[in-house]
Amino acid sequence: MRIGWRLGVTLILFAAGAIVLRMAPPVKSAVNPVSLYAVPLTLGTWVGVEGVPEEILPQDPNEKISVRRTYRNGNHLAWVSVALFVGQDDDARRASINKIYPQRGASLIEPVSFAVPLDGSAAGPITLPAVIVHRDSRRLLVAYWHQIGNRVYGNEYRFRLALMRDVIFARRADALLVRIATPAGPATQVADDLAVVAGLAPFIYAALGQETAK
Amino acid sequence: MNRAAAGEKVVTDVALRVTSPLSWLALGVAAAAALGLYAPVVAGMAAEWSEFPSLSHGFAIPLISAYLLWHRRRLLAEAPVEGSIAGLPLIILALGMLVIGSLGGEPFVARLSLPLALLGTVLFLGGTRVARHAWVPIAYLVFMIPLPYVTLSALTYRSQLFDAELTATALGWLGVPVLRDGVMLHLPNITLEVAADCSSVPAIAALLALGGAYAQMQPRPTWIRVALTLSAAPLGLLSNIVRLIVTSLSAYYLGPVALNNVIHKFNGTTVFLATVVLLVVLDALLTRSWKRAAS
Repeated sequence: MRIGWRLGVTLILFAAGAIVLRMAPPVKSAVNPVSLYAVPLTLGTWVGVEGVPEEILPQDPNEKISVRRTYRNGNHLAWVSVALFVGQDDDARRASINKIYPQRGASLIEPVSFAVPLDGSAAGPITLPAVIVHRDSRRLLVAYWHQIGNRVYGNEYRFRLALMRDVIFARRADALLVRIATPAGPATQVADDLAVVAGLAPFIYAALGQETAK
Repeated sequence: MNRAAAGEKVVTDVALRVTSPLSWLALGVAAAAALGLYAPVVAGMAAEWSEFPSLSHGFAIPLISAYLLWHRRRLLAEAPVEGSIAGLPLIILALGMLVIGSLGGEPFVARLSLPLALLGTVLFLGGTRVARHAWVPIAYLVFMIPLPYVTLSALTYRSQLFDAELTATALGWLGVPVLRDGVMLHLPNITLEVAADCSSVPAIAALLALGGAYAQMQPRPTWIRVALTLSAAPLGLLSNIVRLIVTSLSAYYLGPVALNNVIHKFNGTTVFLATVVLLVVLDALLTRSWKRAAS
């Protein structure tokens, strides 16, 4: 009798779990893909043209849509990719944001990080991740962040947690991956290279923020 | 001798009186319900096991777990089924993880809840004595769960750098001129890359599972079991370094044709077999020292 009672409780709990999983509303897309084109061709003193070489910023096969541009500001050059990922509640999707920077032929991928006041320093600077990709004698600096709505995530685990929270409570599973690459000089010039990225990033964030907040 | 045999019979009789077939049936029904609930989770894992060669050991884990359970069948049959309320919070925690992981699109959390749900069920329905004998086979199921990609890729890259550095150092000791640039090894006649596929990190779960299964196969003191389980991963890393050194030496002395050799092409199998050999050697050493200390 006692074992029967315990078995009953166990089966009820399992059934409740199955019902919760089955009754959950479907995940929907909240970001209009067109909003990515809000990133203008002119960002301050930077002027852009369409296109980014694949060997600079590889395209992830899972992105739904992306805006890829090459910007120039005097002698400075920067490549920008803003990609929209949807349906990230799918098991198979979770492991797929893996093409952030070029890895093929890279002898060394050196992590660096820097702080940038993306939103005009109202809430303090945000620490963003970046890597210096060493390939033969060339060096490429790639900085990136994940964005859900107006929220920016430089840490991969925090981004995953925020995405999980969004998927569970808001049933939305969209996120943007913003990448900025620029040719990097020798190790002594890292601060200058990061300053180039830090100068461009707030313009991109501002353009995306206006659209995704609507 | 006779008293001991008689005592054993009395204990067995008491246990059998306490344990009715109905109790075991209830435990079986609950375990089957748990597996039914987790069917989509298991299907997702099976898809990854078949897609990625470094995860293919996942198919073997439930079978090894079942064997470990079968291996303990006498102990389980003699354990009284008397249920413990301590299992209920475990079941609730596991279900919470399943719901959060499944709805939140974080399969690792949902997958990790499967062994927890099984352990909670066994504890709640079978009690502490049954759980004491069943926890190892249930915990063994953890080895079938693929690590999250973010963690795996970070570890893999660090391992590539580490492997390249050790290989370059060893080649220097062996008189081979080598310049290491990150994961690149520049030899006079060829440049080799310690690629992600060359890293042993993706196989670490398989190696730990191997060590765990090997440790459980024979009756041994617990400390030897723990040592064998934990040493499988470092032994696997060591095997991989040796493989890289042998491949680099072959490439230096024989040229690019050496990269088509068996050791390089079947890197997973080579590392696995070398780890088994090292585990057997370590087992022999530990057992000998234990027996010597005991005598």
